Amino acid sequence: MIRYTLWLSLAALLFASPTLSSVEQTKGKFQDKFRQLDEVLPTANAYRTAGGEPGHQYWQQKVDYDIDVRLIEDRRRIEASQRIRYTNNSPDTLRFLWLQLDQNRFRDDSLAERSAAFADSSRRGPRVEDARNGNPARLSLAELRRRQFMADNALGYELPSVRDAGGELAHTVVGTNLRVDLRSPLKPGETTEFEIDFAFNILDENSVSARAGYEHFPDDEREGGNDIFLLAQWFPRLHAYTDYEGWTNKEFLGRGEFTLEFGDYTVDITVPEDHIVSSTGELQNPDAVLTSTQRERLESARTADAPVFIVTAEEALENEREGASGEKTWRFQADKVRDFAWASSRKFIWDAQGYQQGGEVQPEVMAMSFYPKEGEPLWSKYSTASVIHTMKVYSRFSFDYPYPVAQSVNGPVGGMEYPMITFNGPRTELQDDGDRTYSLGEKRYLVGVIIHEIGHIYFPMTVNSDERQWTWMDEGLNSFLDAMAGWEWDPEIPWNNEPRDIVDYMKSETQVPIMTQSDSVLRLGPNAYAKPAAALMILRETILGRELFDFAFREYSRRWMFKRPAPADFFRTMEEASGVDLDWFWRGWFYTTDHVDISIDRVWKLRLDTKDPDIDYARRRQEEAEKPDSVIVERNRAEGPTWVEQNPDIRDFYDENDRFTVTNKERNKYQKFLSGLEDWEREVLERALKEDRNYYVLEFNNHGGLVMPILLELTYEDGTTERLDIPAEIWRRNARSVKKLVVTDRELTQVVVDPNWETADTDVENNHYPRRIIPSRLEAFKSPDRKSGVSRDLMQDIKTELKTETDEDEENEDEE
Amino acid sequence: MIARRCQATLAALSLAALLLAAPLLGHQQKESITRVLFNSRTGNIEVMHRFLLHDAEHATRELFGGDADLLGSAAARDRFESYVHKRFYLADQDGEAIVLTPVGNEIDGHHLWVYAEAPIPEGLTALTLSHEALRDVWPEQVNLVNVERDKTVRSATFDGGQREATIRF
Repeated sequence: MIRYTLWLSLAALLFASPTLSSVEQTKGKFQDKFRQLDEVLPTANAYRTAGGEPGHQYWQQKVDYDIDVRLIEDRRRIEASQRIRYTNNSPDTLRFLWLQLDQNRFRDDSLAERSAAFADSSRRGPRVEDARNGNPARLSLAELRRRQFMADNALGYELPSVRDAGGELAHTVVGTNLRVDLRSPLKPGETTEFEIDFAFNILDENSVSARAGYEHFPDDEREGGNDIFLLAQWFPRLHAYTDYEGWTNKEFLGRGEFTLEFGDYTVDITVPEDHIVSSTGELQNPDAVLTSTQRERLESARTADAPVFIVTAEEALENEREGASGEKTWRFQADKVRDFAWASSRKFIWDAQGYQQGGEVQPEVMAMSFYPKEGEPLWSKYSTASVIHTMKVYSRFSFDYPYPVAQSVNGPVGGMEYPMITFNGPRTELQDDGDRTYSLGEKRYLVGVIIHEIGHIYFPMTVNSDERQWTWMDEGLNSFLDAMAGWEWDPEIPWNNEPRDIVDYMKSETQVPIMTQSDSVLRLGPNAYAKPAAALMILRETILGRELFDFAFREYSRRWMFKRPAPADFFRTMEEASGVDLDWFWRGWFYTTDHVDISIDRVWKLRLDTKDPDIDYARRRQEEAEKPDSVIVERNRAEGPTWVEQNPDIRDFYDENDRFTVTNKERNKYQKFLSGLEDWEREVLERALKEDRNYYVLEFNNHGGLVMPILLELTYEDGTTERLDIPAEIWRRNARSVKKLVVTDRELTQVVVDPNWETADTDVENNHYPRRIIPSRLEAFKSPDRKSGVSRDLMQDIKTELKTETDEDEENEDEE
Repeated sequence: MIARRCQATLAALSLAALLLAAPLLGHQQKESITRVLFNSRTGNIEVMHRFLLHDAEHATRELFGGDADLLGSAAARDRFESYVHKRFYLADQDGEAIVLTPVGNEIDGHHLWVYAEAPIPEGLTALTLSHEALRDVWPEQVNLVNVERDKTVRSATFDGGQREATIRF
């Protein structure tokens, strides 16, 4: 009996694992690229439906935080106390809770540090090089700075107390995780409260690359300089407890980001009194922390047409010169957020503009930017404008922006997102004449990065996907949308992320499927950002069309707003809401490393036989006549007449009638054929003969493995072209080679596969029939008539003086 | 012995201290892709590097200071191009360098392309390559090289401590 039970549970495990296929093709080479994904996707249940929607018993935990935090500027340290209210909405009884201690990743005994292989790219941070070819191993000065910083500063959390109303709670630190043992089991529906005191030394972001930290400005006039502080992953946060994974307490290794619970936050932030604080949430006590002028400016910004300065550049400069000795406490309230971040500095210029988005959820949103003089004049012109533009576009694709503020803060982090607040890095250059300037590239980059990071407030801050597991679920969807918003900002700017931009990556050997856990992904950029973004563009523009895609994408957004979707929920919703089977698409693009390379290799032209020997035999004779003569016959003829020509008297019947001569025997056979036809057969034949259309059979081969629609441009003899899209399903019985019949009145002269480069086809040379030589980029570059528009040095060329006719005459004379 | 070697290394590596301040975590960058194409039509090995323009611009500023407006200045682009050529090499199966001739550079979209070429050496059975461009500026720079010969793509990725790779045909 026991043995039987054991065997059963083992079998259940085997069948539950998606990596073990229960069905295998064990003979032949047939690959079913259209095999339905049901056996790969998790089994639907009461929490998640088979249609990709939250089920009728969907649940998620709720975690509320009250935090008092103090920034001790001169020690670059925060000290805080937080009260956590944890509501167990799961059907399970919990005896312990897991929290994230992300600051512990920077301890020298952390799993991230200990498992960092020397000269391995998995750790973000300074450069080191392995010994090779007689060269010694090398450490960069930046790596030494990182090591010195980590040696000189005690990093990670100090946790003096974890307690509830009954006193200290037993707790255990496991790397970047903290297990808190509850005094009594927390049953379904129950709430527990406990408190944690914590402190840590803030990291020098430029040394350690931590997504947050301080940046020091030693050259400011104030003695000792100034800092910008960006605080994120700064408080012990509850790990998510989920229906699909239980506790999501996979150790933080630095790459796979965060999986968090929604909750309400009240946070009191005490900082030097001349600091300006930007934070997740709404400011609750403006009277206590802002001047009356600042409050008036903020009020006027609500309905302004352009950003209004709350703190002007001059005021910020004055702040960063002076310094102050007192403190102020800024109180922020944020409801229904999955995280909380903030920034503080006396260097901040602050501008704001109300965005009247309408609707019932959040009719007015304050878009705000905070930046030091080092970001000017770029930031005041483009930051807040980019924030508002992002909301306009993203809301159309998903839902109304759900929070009261949306902020962009400049500091030492290149680009990072949190609810209602983003950190963005672009700066300007101080020139010798005292001006600060920026290049066109930097401007485009600023707009792009702000769109991207503000976009993250939708995905994953509101559609709360699991970043630790699946980077693509937020980065891929967001990269798709940021390109959409970019094109709507200014279509003249090349935003890329188009299918054509990823062909070199997709044909490379060094890649893993998109469906790979974040810490294990090779080449995160193309894998989790560009490739899924391109896939969604193809889905929208080529496979589903905008109407079906947009409806399905909005439905996904609506279903999972403020909830926690898994990959299957996305795949299933897109399929269910569009009404189109997309399993082949998810399988090819997300579950394999196949690429797209479809060739057109042959075209046969066919013409319907009439069966009438007087017509068909004549056609055969004509076909024969069109064949080139034998070279031997031609050359002999040139040398003189043949024997038969020299002796015409030997000619007989067979010289007058060739093998295509029709006799009554054939005509009788034709009449018998006609009389043997059913009426409908005769009608069909008569019509087809009357129409006398051209029948072409086109042969396509799939070299990349990925099945995709075959998009055809047909060119006819009269110069006209026609678009013909063959659905991907043509590959379902043979994924390697297929033929397609094209019937047309006109003569076909050329066929091109994917003429607009919509499908990320890696080899466009084999997309042409007849073949066309496609020069490589380098060949094209070298061709003399090529002058790329964007590479012209316009700034130099524009200084050229216009020549008059006299000038030209003089020049000609000189040349002579 | 070890101490002496470390000192020498530090002196040789002062460039690496010019580390850019802003690592980008929520946003993709610091990736380049290079095609090394054996073009049977021209008989050349064609090297086509694709960099993100924004990366190239910041790197130019870090490396050379001053004018780094790659969209506006051909001189700045040329400076970046010659830097790239110095940090990329090919060698044959005997370790003999395959001397590449610089061809030029151009901007296409938000990419900067840099080109070089060399005649395909006779009897080439292996290609050793190294692509160190931008890897002295950012440790997280990843350079992917696709070697394309006779319709076959072989890849080498230069990241972390990877400084050289050999592909055998």
